[in-house]
Amino acid sequence: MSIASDVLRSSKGRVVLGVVAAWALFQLWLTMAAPGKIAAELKGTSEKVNVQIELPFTPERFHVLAFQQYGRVSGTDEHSIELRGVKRTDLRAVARPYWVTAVGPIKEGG
Amino acid sequence: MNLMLQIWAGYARLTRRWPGLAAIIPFIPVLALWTAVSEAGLFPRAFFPGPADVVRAFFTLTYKGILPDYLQDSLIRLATGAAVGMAIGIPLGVLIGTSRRAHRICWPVLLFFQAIGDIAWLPILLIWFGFGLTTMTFVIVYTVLFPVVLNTVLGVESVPRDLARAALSLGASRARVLWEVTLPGALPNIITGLRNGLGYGWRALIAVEMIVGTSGIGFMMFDARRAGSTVEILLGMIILGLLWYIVDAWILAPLERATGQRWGLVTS
Repeated sequence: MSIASDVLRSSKGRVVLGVVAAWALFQLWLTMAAPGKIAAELKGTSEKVNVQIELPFTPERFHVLAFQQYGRVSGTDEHSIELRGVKRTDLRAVARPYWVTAVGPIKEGG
Repeated sequence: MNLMLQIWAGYARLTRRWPGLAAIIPFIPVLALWTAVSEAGLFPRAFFPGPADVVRAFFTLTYKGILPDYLQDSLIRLATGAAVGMAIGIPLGVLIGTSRRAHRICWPVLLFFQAIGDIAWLPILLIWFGFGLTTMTFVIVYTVLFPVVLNTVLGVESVPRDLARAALSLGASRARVLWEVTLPGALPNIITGLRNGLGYGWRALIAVEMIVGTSGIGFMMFDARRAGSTVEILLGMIILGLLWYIVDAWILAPLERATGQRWGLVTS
């Protein structure tokens, strides 16, 4: 109890707690914002979907590796990654990172 | 000479008023020298980037999500390793510190394994567990364990026996003596052990990530070598130093002081 009050009294403690709180709020915001990034066209009943993930930059190896845990990366272009065989239940996780701007169906011939 | 004294007095006044500056000011000459050398063009920019390039790389890697993700991975690994190391190390240290028989059995084994460095385990760990999280966690736990155990033993042994005897004579059970006398008395040493262990663990983690990792700050630095990106390697080094400074000076050192003052035994 006294350690907690010591932490609250010290400026360093308040800064650390502030950073932790800001990080927690950011994570909460990411979770809440994720469904809004998923296109309405992806609604359906099939268990798996093929999606095109839009990024604000050219994808790098890190981004390809990050999505490989949710499906099969079948290609990348200037600002997006094609991911096939994604479980519907994983769509929110795919859309969650702050560097994902949108998740939609694969644009054929795109 | 007089000018130097005046500068020093100014520095002392400034840091007394804003203590946080005392940690920043010593880096100013280092930064100035670094900027001067990189701007002078003594070395090609690709080999020796300046501070501005490193700052740009920080923002680019953060924008792309690479840096926060790798940093999070490294911190989670360290926290997991520290938690497991503490969960094994503190009870083991208390056992060795309180029981002569356990001390006789465990002490030589402990010293033997302490001499085998964490990285020396890597070849066999790679055969056993492969390139994965288990290998990394093992190395961190192993690194954290020894400082925690040795300091816990030291802490337990430094608690005056008279205090335990006094508590026993007043009717306290052995478990209560352990909980209310031995552990509080040993706590400053335990925290010191944890502080040292986390420091060693942090360094070991970076080394392991370089060798077996597929993510983390160590991996980022080693992967940058493949791309010849000196700026990312420098950024990784700066992040390691800064992060450890914050964790040690802002969290562990105050915790050590708080527990030392609060629960440290005053025997005089």
